Amino acid sequence: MKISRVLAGAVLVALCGTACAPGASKEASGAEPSGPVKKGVTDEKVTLKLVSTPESGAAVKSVIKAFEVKYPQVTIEYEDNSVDDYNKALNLSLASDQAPDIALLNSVGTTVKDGLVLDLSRYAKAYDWDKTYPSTQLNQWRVAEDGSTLGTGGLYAAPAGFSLVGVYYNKAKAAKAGITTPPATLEEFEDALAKAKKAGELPLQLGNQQGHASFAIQLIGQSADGAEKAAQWTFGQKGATFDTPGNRTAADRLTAWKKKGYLPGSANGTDLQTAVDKFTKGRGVYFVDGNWDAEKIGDKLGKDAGFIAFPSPKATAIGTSVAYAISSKSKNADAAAFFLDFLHSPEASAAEFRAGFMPADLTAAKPQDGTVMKDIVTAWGRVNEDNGLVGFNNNATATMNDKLTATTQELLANRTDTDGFVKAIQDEWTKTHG
Amino acid sequence: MTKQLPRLALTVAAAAVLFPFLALFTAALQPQSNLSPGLSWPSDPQWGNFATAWTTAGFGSLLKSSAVIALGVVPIALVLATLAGYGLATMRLKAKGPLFALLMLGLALPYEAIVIPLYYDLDSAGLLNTYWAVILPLVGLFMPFGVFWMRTHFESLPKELLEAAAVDGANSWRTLTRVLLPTAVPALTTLGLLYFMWAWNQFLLALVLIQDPAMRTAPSGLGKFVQQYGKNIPLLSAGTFIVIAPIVLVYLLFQRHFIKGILQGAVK
Repeated sequence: MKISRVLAGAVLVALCGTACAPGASKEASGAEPSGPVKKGVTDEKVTLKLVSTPESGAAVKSVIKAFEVKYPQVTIEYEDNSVDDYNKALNLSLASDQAPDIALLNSVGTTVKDGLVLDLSRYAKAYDWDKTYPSTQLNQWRVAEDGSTLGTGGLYAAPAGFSLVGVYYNKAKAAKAGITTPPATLEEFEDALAKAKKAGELPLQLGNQQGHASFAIQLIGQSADGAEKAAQWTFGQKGATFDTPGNRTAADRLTAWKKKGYLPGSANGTDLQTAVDKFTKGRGVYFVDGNWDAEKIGDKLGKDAGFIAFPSPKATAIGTSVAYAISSKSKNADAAAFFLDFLHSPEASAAEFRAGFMPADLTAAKPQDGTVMKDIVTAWGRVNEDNGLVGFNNNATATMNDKLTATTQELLANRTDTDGFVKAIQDEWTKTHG
Repeated sequence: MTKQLPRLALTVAAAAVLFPFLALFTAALQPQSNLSPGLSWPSDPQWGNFATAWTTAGFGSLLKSSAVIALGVVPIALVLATLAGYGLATMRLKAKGPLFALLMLGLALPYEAIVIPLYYDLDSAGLLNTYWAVILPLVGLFMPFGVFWMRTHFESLPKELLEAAAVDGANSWRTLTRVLLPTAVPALTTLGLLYFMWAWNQFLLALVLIQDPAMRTAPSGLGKFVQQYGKNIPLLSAGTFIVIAPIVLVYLLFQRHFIKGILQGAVK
């Protein structure tokens, strides 16, 4: 069952990449709207259909409620599907006659290339989105004309809530190991890991069955190379390379940590959820993970749970937004865009924060003192100040996640070295962006 | 000792089958905050998980569509497989060999490869987003196996049976309905049961060809408990029980026939 599902997904993706692209894009380029944008909504009754996944949908459901109270003439029908199924069926659904008006975009993928969603630049201008969001947040949804280079070009989705990856730590274990202040540089982080090891603790919890060691590698790499340079690579911009001093240090450090016993021996056979479980049970002083697990970790560790942006003088984080796009087939694109603009309203921001996302409007985030959420909001603030948000390396190409999973596993198993790792990743990137 | 050995082997085999279910069952009763339930009886069994799973995934409508699809597929596929198997087994046809070989090709074809073309075909036929979009392709996909199965059954019958029917003046329709079909009940039941199970669990076709999530099949409900960065294992386990319960019930009802059908194949 499992294998056939995976296979099915692969076949679908492969077929879609080649087969459905040409027909669909022709259709869409004719439908591209132009002319001035109608801001707001009229008194006319409008029904919009929105599709999402349960994890981001929880917040959007309450945003919809707030929106409908304010603008009763608009009805928004909500539908969701689990993330794997959603990604598989999204393009077909957008191409069908029952296309939704608003759709969650998990990655740019082939959806933009196939012309299935609208270029929102006109709306961005009308609603001043570039003043609302830091450029690193919006750039993740800008796609150049080739359909695969990100960071420049038209804007294809508007962000709702944000996620970020940083470092969780167990305050009690850290204090016991004599780590008094949170590390602020990579060197200090390594010292802390060494102290933890000396105290008989597992320094860094890690589950790499699905390749999550790539989080640590990216964070070390981008804090050394700088967020801007790192982002160029994830965006697939010409001339970017993975072979940077930062990424090399990252691969070196990870192998060194493995040798010194800083990482769990079974990391390659542990999935993310099991690693979270182990961390909440006190195995591991540090743990690199995203804010999506904040509730699970906060519930179990209570006031012992802490979070910092990855130790670096200039704060960076891996992160992306839950972002919504408008279907090229939507007959009510203006109303849909008005809803997208509502996604950064105080009401929407509060709903996003309640569901565990970092909101666009940070004043809506009111975490309790002493909770891990408080730490995450602080880290998020720092990252924004330094404009340090970088998209996931795993999304750099359609197959990058698989490649990173395989090569980080080889790295931890000592089957490849830093040279081999960096080359394998860059070769994979060149296949799409070269 | 020789008497005990088979018993021991059967016990081990039964345990091997039951063990995963036991693990599933204890996992289904854990509190939802449990991230990696091991094999242990929960101190406070959460029977409510079944109800929560039912409402979260909307199993009411999903089980209904699985039933509509399965009950639509089984009779059509059984009739077609019987007729084709009968023809291939007993009649003299010119292109019988190549025809059969062509059908057998279908067994080797991964159906995932045809999902996208199917989407566009059904779109042009206006059948997308209806139960027919899943029922009709499934009937087609089930044919190779069914025809092979029924042909084998009809060939295993003694030739004398057909000859006697012919001597008594029965035409081929009467031969099929009055002489052959009564012997085919176990084979048909088994085939029907397999078809039912496959159609019930069909996931990919329903996902791609039906847009309305409420019209999809039961297994698609399990997706609600799997998220991008983790899964709700207790609810996933509870949902799994809900999805497999109808199949287990159907199997229990037809158990005797099923075993007869399998054994019949074994003798041949």
